[in-house]
Amino acid sequence: MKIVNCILSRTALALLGVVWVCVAVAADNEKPANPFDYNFCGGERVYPIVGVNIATACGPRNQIALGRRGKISWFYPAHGSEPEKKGSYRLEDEQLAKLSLLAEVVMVSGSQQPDHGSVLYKMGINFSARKPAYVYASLTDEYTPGNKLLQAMRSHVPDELKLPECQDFLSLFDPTMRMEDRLQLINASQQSVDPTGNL
Amino acid sequence: MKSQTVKAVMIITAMLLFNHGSYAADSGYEGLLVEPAKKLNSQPLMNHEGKPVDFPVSNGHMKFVFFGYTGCPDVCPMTLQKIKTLIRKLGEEANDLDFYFVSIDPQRDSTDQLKSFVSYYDPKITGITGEPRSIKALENEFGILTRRFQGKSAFAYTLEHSVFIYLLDSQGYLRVMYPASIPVGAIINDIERLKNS
Repeated sequence: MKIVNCILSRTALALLGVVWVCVAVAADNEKPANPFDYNFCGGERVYPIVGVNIATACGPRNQIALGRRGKISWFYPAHGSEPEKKGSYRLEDEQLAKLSLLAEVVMVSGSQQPDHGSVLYKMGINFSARKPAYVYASLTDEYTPGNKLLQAMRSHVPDELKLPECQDFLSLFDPTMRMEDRLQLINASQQSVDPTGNL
Repeated sequence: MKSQTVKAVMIITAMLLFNHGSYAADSGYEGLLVEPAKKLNSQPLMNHEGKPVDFPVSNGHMKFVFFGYTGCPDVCPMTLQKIKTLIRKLGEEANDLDFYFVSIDPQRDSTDQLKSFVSYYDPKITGITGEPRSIKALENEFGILTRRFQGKSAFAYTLEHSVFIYLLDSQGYLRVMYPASIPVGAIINDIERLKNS
């Protein structure tokens, strides 16, 4: 029994030693850190720049952005001189690692074509030293890398998006445009060309 | 003393859970599902036997692809070790899968070096290299980052690079990406899902 206890105690100490080393490495942000906690080997951690414009057809555009240094910012709605809701703060490393992973998948998945939907968004992703990627899509509960990344970003923003419901809108629209310009364009298009209401 | 052991085991379990997390559980996969799946343009490369191949090879097999270089000090050996464990756990099922290690350092990694490097882990792993231009084109297809830091002489440089493990379906489409921290069991679950999809 003493031998068993001795083995257990030595094992416990060895395991605790491993844990201590792992924690020490993870805590040192100056170095490549633990290469297994992120998608990158060597050098500094790289966070992507992610910018999203999101709106309903008749509503104002909202913006959420993730910066290179890991700060998330939001402007709801993002037009006029003063948004009703805005803010920014630096995310935790673990949150940034997850967002970075999701952004990587969006980059590989390529741009989606927008489908008719009540909420559309345009997302741009720029990792340093890589070709930027863009997604233009409708926001749904369905799994797509773009939806997943946007949902993850929204989960870090305490304010609610300003997304008023619109009636009888089937048009594709550009969520990066100012609401007034967008509505003008949609109205002009609906009056002149397409009886189905599509742009 | 037993309580110390229990504590240590609990801490390690918590760390493993914390590290792995759930990347995109609502996709049905434990890795990061690429949706829509990406068709990859093949590139003229060569395997570690020196034979020319259009990579990714279209042979109806699902494939695991990993990028790295033989001089990589940490993450490449660990990831190859993970691939080795995956192959062992799959058993005979691994015969229907291909495993590739693509060198991002074709100027220093000869076919012989590549062969001995990957064979050390498992003979089922095939090393891939080729002209720098073709390797770069393949990196772009996979959307990976490689950066070179020059040292004092022409061959004294280090590379940093993305360390995903990529799973391609039998049609050659890129379907799932895995961070290096993914447990082998999660990859095995995804293989079954992909086979049944």
